[in-house]
Amino acid sequence: MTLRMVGWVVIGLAAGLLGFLTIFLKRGRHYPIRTHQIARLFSSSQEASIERGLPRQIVLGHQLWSYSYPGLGLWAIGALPVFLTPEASADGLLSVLTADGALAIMARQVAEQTYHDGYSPFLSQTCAQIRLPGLTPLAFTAGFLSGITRQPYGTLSLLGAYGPESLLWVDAVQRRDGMAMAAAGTLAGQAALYAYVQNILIGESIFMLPNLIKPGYSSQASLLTEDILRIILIASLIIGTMLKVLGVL
Amino acid sequence: MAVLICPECGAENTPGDEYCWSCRRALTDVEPVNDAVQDEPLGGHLDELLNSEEDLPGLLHALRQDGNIDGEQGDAEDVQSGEFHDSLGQASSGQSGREEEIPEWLRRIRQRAKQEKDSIGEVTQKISAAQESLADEKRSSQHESYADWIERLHQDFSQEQVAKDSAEGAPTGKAGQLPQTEDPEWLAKILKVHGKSVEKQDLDSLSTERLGGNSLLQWLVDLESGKEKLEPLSEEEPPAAKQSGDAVGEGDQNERTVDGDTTQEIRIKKGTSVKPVLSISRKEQLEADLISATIVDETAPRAMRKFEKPGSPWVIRAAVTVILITALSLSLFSGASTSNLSGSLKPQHRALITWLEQLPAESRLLLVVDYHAGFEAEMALIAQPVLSKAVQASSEFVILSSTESGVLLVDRLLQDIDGFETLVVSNAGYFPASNFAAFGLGAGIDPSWRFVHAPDAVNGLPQGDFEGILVLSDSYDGAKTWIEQLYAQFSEVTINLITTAQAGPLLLPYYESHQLGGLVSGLSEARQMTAYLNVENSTSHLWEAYRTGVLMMIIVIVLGLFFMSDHEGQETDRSKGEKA
Amino acid sequence: MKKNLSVAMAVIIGVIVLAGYFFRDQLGPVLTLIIDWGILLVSVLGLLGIGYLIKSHITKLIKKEKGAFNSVVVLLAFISVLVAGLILSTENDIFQKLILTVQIPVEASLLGVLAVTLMITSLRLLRTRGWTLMSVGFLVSAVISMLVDVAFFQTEPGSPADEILKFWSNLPLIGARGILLGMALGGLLVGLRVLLTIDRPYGED
Repeated sequence: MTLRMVGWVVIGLAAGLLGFLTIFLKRGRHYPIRTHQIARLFSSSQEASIERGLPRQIVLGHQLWSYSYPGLGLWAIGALPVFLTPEASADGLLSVLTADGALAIMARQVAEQTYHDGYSPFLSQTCAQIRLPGLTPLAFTAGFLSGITRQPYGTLSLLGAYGPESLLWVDAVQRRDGMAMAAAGTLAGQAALYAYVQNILIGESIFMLPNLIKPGYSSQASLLTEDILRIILIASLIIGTMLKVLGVL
Repeated sequence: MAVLICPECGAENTPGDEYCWSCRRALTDVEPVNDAVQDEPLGGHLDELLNSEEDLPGLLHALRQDGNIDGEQGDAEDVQSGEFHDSLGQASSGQSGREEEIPEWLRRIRQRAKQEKDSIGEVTQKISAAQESLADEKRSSQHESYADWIERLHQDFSQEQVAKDSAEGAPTGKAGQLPQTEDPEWLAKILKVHGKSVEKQDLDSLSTERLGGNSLLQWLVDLESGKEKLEPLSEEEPPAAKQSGDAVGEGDQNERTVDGDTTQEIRIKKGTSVKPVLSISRKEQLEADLISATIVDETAPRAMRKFEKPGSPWVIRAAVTVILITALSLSLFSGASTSNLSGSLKPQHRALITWLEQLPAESRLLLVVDYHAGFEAEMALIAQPVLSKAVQASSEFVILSSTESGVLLVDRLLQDIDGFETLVVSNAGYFPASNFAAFGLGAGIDPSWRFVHAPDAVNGLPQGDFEGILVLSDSYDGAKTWIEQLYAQFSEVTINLITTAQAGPLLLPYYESHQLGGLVSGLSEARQMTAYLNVENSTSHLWEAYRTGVLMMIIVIVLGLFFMSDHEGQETDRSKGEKA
Repeated sequence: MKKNLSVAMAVIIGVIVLAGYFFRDQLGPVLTLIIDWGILLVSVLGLLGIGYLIKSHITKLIKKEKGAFNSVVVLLAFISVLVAGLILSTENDIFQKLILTVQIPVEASLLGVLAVTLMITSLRLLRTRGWTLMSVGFLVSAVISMLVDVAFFQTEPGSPADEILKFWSNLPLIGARGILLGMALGGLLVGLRVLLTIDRPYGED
């Protein structure tokens, strides 16, 4: 068995499960996702921030594609519509930050999709602002910190691939009485934020975030597929280790 | 066609019916009436009313209510139902032209009026009231209507009184006359206003024949036309007004007994107003107070919150800062460490050193720069011993950068190395490997589909034989990318990694899997390399300061375990507490 | 029509790249072409990112928002470095000093602040998360790793203590591998969701 065959099996199984479960759950069925308080806290914080007219920001990370964390930037872009609700972006105080030009362009596309098909920017001037404070992680940090001029602050949501410098962002936000929510995908980001942010999802738990905030059958299908694949992988690892120890492999 | 009009209800019955279909009154004494006959107007009033240009919506509405008759088309206004005076007022506002055809309801009214003197009762009242708004030339007819009305009232009242007196044995007056002992209060008032006394008034004079300039009706008409003005009642109490409970006597009284019911007169003096007493319960008062307090609170100006960093007093912070700076400074100036470190070299270090020692002369090395400016100092400490050895054995360095300022950083790094001047340095440019697909670097496919003159990104990597590859990286992600892709493309070439302390432990498996020839990470390992390679630099001095700083950090964390945890739970996420 | 075209393009290109992994010889040339285009596109997007940065600062300046002075500084620095790089070239010593003299201290100071912030957060870890197994284990492992890093424990190679120390040093790697496996699974499904058009992150519903 070569790696190519293993790839065939894993990708084929994942694609088949995803397609089947999407259709299966589309018919009104429900997959109970593990609950997490982060969605409730984020919703209440966002509502309070909107009511008080406080700025809210979403960080999409530094890279659209990363060799070590593939799909993290793409996931952040895919999760962005969950945060760009009409209520959240109506007051013009919601901004999306990133250090990658590709992420910025795609985020703008997502934020302004209401301008397609007959809509005009003159009808609705307010939408989420897309900003690029810096092109490198530390330049982004410098731009982000200098951009926090308002006091107090509302809500900061961290998505995508970012490093330990995210701790400086969270610290600055919490000093201004803001609330930070992090979906830390990278190892360094998890290590830095775990001690400081209560509302954090680490590892593969970050893929639960869109469904926690806005449940949907498609996200439930992918989470169920991921759970099944994880169980298969764990079983394969244990069996493989045992066989290796026994000298079979 | 002849019909029988029921004198009771006015319903039409066919000739020959013995009983009315509506009210079951006997119709034996009723003569048939030809409905085509134009009846005489009721006292001339109805036709005059209808001939008038003025609109009588009130009248029509009243008639509708009486006989459930469909409204005539052409009614211009809606009249408030049940309001007699309103209908009068509106009736005086205008009148639509009379139509040529007599409507059914009118025909019934006329027929009934022919049979009974005042059979339409209320209708007569309303017609009379409508007549008040007519011109002066109709006054006589109004007088007659008023006379009829009042006369009827008198008759009714007198009949009732007679019946009552006869039952009680009291003296009665003439029929149609009020007994002298009883005076209607309302009439007394009106007459008093008019200046007439009611006590000895012979009510016979109120008959129709005696209506003239001094009659009540004449007075009412004059009042309407404006010839008379209503004078306010005098402030003095009527002489007959007495406390309740007193016997009913002559004069004004405040208590009358009419029809067996006791009525009380409440005299309200002009100019005096009785303030209504408002009683509020305690609950209502509390709610009102809460609402007013909320309103005041919402509209009150608020000062901007001042954000003060909660923390320990400035003395403690200053003391900690002084201790930190003092300790680090002392460690910096304490001198280099003299401990023997050669025995503590790890396998990955030995492999790197072996590779350096076995580099052939005039070798060509690929230098991949993947670190940022913030790690320049650390990277300089770690890479300098290795590069110093590599420069001695090499003739050419090919520099490839995957960070924006990588070329500038490596130039600065190489300038501090002895022998750099004789080295040939080729700059391969900026190659952001982290943004490329995995295939792009390690594909090694002959490009047969390519646009002419298009940039050749896949084959942008430097070609040729390299004796070794040195990757200088500050992150796990970047180092992993280069290791895997370079190993795929240059599988026969030894790849060595120089990385910072944060990435070293995670990249060790690549050495164990033989994808890396050698690995050195962090200041501690660089110190060992420096000592072994016998290269002079400031690593040893900085090592003591680094060690001191790390130990102080450990002490602070341990102290925090025991002291800061006393505030557990108190400092909840302020945002969460406020906003959740 | 526009929506269908973008969806079709995304699916076709994604399937070709995925299939090229398995049918390398047959799809090699197409794969090379697509990768070339992708690299060009990413590079252009990188330039667009720079343009986005400049545009946001210019907008801030025009609207006279709070912090407009910082935007003036950024724009002046950008223009001066651009002009200097074009005139002097990147190998020029003056140009290198111009860049590195500013960039190195700024980034190094940010990293220093990060180190201090990390120390403070580890100090407040128990206050934030309470006395839980995770928080205590986090702190204990951090302390031991730092002690090992500063060579507080000196062991002989091959000795049991050295083996224990190696085992302890490899423990973080085990956890990291587990997290990376989970992230890889999640990334796989994110890609499949795009290929199967369940997710359309390119702006379409």
